[in-house]
Amino acid sequence: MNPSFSLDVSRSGEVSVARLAGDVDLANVGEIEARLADGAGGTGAMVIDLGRVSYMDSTGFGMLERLSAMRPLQVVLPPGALVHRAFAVTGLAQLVPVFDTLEDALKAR
Amino acid sequence: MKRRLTLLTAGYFVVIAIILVAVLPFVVGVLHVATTLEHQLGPANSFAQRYLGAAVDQETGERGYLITRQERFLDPYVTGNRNASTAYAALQRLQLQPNERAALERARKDLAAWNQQATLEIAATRAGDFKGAQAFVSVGSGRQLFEAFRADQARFAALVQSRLAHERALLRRNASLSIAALLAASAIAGASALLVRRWARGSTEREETHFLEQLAFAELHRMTASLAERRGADDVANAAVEQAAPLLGADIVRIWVREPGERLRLVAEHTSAYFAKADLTALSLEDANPASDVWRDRRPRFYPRRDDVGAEYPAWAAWWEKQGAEGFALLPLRADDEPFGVLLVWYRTPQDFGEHQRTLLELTADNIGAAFSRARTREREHDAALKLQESLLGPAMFVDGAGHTLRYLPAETGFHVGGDWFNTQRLADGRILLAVGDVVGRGIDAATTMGQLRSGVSACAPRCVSPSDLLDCIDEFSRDLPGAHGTTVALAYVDVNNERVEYLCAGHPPPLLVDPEGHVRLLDGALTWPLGIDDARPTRLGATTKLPAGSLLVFYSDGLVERRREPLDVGIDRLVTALEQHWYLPLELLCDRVVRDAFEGSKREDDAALLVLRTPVLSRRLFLMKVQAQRDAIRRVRTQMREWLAPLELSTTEEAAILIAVGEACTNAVEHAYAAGTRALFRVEASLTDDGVICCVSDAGAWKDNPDRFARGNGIAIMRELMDDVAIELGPGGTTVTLRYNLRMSDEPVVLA
Repeated sequence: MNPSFSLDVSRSGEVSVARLAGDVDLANVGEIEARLADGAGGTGAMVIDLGRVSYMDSTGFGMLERLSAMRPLQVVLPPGALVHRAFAVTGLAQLVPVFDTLEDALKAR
Repeated sequence: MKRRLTLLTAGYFVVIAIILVAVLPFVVGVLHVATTLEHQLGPANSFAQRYLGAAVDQETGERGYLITRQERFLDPYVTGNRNASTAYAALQRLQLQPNERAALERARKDLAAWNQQATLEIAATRAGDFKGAQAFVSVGSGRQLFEAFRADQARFAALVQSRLAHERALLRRNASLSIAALLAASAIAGASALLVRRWARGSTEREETHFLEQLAFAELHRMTASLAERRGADDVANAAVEQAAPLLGADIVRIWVREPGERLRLVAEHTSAYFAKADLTALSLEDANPASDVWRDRRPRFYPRRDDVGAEYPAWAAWWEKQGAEGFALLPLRADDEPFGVLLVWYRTPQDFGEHQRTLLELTADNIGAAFSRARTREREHDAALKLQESLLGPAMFVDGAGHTLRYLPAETGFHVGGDWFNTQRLADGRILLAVGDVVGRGIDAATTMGQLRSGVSACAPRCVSPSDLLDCIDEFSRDLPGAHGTTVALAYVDVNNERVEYLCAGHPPPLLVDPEGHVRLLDGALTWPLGIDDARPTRLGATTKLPAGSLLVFYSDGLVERRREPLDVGIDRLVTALEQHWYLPLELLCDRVVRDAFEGSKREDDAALLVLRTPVLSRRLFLMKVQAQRDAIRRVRTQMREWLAPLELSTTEEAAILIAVGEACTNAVEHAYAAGTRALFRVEASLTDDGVICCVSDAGAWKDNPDRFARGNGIAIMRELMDDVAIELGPGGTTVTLRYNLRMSDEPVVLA
């Protein structure tokens, strides 16, 4: 089966930057969560860019909630993002700072 | 002294003469009316009922014979025939009025016309012409003839009833006039003949009172008989208050029944024109009020005047004052010696509550109690039978390879459980078996037979390669099952891969096929006789027809389409119309609409079964996938759903909204509804309607196993945010999530949260 998502993790100074794209669902959320949790040493601040995510449901948002408890987390979610409305409903914005662009997120540190 | 005595004797004669002259006409009137009641109208009424009953036996027997071709049905037919003649002869001997006689004659002619035709059909059936006889039963010409009889018989009965009511009123009036005349005569005679007056009043009043008492007790008897025919406890209560009021000569009659929470609840009330309905419907048993006191000590209470009860319960005095009635009686109501409520009776005027009146009140309460007891027993039996039937019907199984759903609807009138049953299973070669059947008769016996037949089908199915084989097999199985004779059944083997269905209807109304474009047609290519009829006949052959992807098969029992006073075709046409309107809807919604349209404005008199199956499809209007509940299933659904949504040219945000909402519902189905490792299935459907898109995700998950199912996570909140309407229905067969998304006009911007 073709991977339904792509994830690359890089570093920008002290911060891990994860770019997630494609579909996040029950079938792959475990794998994504494991890679994000381990990403760049597994501790320290992380920015996750959801701008190119085409599908994410409550299982994916649950993963973000768990990650935010493990390490300082920021999320990049442009207003036009496909999962923007769903994200807003979950109330995650109260746990995790949300930015329109990656630059804004990094600047805010 | 002797002279005075002579004078006194002369006085007696004078008084007696006056009394005779004054009273005689009324007494003659009373005697005449009483004789009419006793010798003419009473019997006319009961013979009219017997006449109808016998004719109904006849018709039932004839129908039974024409449908099943079993000679034993001819017994009720012949007996009914004989009894109808006897009842008619008895009616003819009575002195009926010309209009009554004319109505009776019309009814007799109707019945004769029906009888003549029925005899021909029975003869035709004996000679082997089943088709013509079937038409007589199913197309309804027989029923129309019989209904004509029923209508004219009803007119006759109504005429007799109305004369009976009129004569009764006359009797009452004359009886009271007699009393009035007697009292007047007594008063005149009083001064001159004290003894005579005493004698006269004493004896005649006794006579009259006795007469009225007899009348009241006869009415009580009538009430008892009428209550015995009532079904539910509520029905009994309502009929009881309506009938008790005139019988007791009371103005207000109320029945209060005890319910949990130490309360009495008002379940039925009758008030005469002088009084308003009660403005309270519950009484606390802890309060001081007469009803609660009667409930507590089980003793009746009689208050001649309002002031009497007001003195005892001052807190209520104002309420009773406002109500305005005077005489008041309260009696405990018992069913099987167990108290269950209180009967309250109010009279407009003060009452003396003599011995006779008290007895009448107590007997009334006893009779109401007994009627309740019978109704409750019947309700319990009905519930038990219904539970049995549910357990025998089993849970809605999710067959692999196609979507299906079913409805079993018990009758709403009467208290009989029917013998409708289903069976759905996937066979070893990948085909799907559908079966819907209807056992003759009702009640526990029918339900039991139904269960046995259903198991029989399950046991036979794996060994049979066609509906025809299967029918032979269950026919053989049913030979040892006395209740199975005459059972009708529709069977189909659905071959999804080769897009074909092979089917057969044994005495059952034909199933319907809706193609993926919405064209409805009857599957009437293989109609044959019911089960257990005759083992000497040749094998019955099924018919095969094409079943393009996305076709809908609709199986049902006659309860869904059959109405009284209506040929079967009309009901089937109604079903066809409903399917033409709603065919494209997801299955659960489709079933709801079809049932709604089938029973619009009428109560179900028989139980009804509906079973629909749709094969997988991805067409312009329809989407149906049946998926294994595994984690990667959600992605497969999403891929297919994207493909289905593509022609709608939605914006990417709109498309994402639908996909996420459907994904949430699928996630729930996969994650929560299935215990890990089981081979469970769930169904995803979508339909394009005039307003937008409806999606349904159904699974067989039992809600009880997962009380937190939707509380966990944000699934519901996300669906509600993204969709215009979200409905989650938890049924005994599983859970269905229905999502509606309205397609917006292009100039209306999509608002982002």
